[in-house]
Amino acid sequence: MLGKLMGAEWRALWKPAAILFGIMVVAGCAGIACFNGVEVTSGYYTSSTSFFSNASVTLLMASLFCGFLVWASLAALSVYVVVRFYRTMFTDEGYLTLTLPVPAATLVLAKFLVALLLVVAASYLSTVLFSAMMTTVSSGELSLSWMIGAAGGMAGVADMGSAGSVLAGIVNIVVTAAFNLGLAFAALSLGAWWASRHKVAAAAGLYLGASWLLSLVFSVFGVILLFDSYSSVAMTVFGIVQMVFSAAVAVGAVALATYVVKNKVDLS
Amino acid sequence: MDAPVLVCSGLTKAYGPTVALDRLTISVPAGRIVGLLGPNGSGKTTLLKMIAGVAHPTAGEVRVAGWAPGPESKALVSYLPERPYFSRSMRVRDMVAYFSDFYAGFDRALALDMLQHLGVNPASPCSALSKGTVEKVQLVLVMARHAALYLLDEPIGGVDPAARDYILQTIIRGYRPQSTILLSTHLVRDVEAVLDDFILLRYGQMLLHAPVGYVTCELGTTLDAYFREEFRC
Repeated sequence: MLGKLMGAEWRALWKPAAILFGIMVVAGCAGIACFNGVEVTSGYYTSSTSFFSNASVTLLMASLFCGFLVWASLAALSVYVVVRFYRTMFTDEGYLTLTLPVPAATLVLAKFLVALLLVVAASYLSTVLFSAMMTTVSSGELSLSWMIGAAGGMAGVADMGSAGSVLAGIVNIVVTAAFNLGLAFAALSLGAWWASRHKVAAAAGLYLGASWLLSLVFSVFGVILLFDSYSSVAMTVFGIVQMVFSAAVAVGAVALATYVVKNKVDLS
Repeated sequence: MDAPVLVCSGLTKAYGPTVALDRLTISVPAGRIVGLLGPNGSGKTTLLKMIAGVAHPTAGEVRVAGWAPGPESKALVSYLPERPYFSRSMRVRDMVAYFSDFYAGFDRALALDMLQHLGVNPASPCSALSKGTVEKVQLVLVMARHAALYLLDEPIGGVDPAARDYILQTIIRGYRPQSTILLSTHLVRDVEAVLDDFILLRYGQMLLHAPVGYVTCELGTTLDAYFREEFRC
C-alpha cells in the first residue's frame, strides 16, 4: 500500500515539480552566464567608458535576480508539497484520503517520503547551481566540491577531504529537509486539531515557534561547545550532533502528525 | 441470527459545549436499507462520519462487523460524504483508477458502465463537471464498490427531482442483498419506498429505530407524514 500511495502522490506532484525544476535550471544557468558576463565586462572597464560599467552592473543585477529565482523555486516547491499535505488530509479532499483502508502511519509516511524526495532533489539542484555561481565569481579560487560542502553546512568537516565534505553536505541537506517537512506536517496536523478557525495560520505559528525554539537550542549548544575551542574537530562534532538531533526531531514530528491524524482530527 | 454489521454503544460526540450525538445505541443487521432521518442538526452526518472513521467519538464506541474504525472497517465501508471530495486536478478516469487501486472490491466495469449512462466522459477533468454531475459521479464510485456497509450522506439533497430519481435508481441498482445501506436524508417522501427500516434522530438522540412497516401497518400512516408530525415546528 505504501508504494501505491507514493505512486498516487507522485502522479499528483510531478507536473508542478517539473515546472519549478525547469525554472531553477534556466535561472541557474542564466545566473552563471551573467556572472561570467560580469567578469568579462569588468575587464574592459575604464574611467572614460560607461558602457562596460553599466553592463557590469546590469549583468550583476540580473545574476542576483536569477539567484533569487532559484531560491524562490525551491521555496515554492516546499510550500506546494506542504499545502498539498494539508489539502488532502484536512479539507474536503480528506474524505477521499482518510477513508482509504490503510493505516494513518502509511498515509502520512507516503506523503512525507515523496515530499522529502522532491525537496531534497530541489535542494541539491539549488546547491549545485549556487555553488557554480559562486565558483564563477571567485574566478576558480574556490573549488566546486568545497562550495557544495559549505552550502550543505559541512565545510568544516575535519580530515574528510573534499569527497567527505561533499557527502556530509549532502546528508545534511537530507536531514535539514526532513526536519523542516516533519515540523510542517506536525504543525499542520496540530493546527487542524486544536484551532476551530484559522487552522493554517495556527499551523504557521506553531511551525515558526517550534523552528525558532529549536534553533535557539542549537545555538546555545553551539556556543557552549565552541566557546573555548573553534577547531575543525569541534565544528565537526557540533555538525554531527546537530544532524542527529534534526533527524530525531523529524522522526518525532512525523510520528506526532500520525498520532494526531489517527486519533484526534475530525473532518468538518 | 446473523451478526449485526453495525453496532453503536453509547456513542457520543461533543464539539465543545455542543453535544452533536448523545449516547446513541443502535444495532443494524446486514441486508437492510436503513433511513437515517431527522431535521438539520440532528446528528445524522456526525454519526456517519464516526462510522466512516473521519471523526472520533467523545465517548462510546462504534463497530463495523466487529471492527473499530480503522483500515479493516474502512475496507468494509463505502462512504459518500455530503460534500464533493474530488481533487480538481484529476480526471474522472483518474478517480476510477484511484478507487480501483485502493479498494479490492471495486467493480471498474460497473463504474464505467454507470458513468456512460450518465453521459460522463471519463477523460473529463473533475473541475469541468457541474455540481450535480460531481455528486452523481461520486455516488457511482461509491456504489461500484462491493462493500458490507454503504453510508450515504444526503445523496439526494441539493439536486433536482429528476436527478433524485436517477440517484435512487443508482442506489438500488448497485445494492447487493447481503449489504446494508445507511442513507441519511430529510427528504423522507422521496426515499420511503426503498427503505426497510428507519432511525429517527433529534438533537443528537435517537427517538425511534423500527421497520417502516411499524409506521405503515401499525400506525396506519406514511413515513413522511409520521416524520412531519414528529418534527412539526
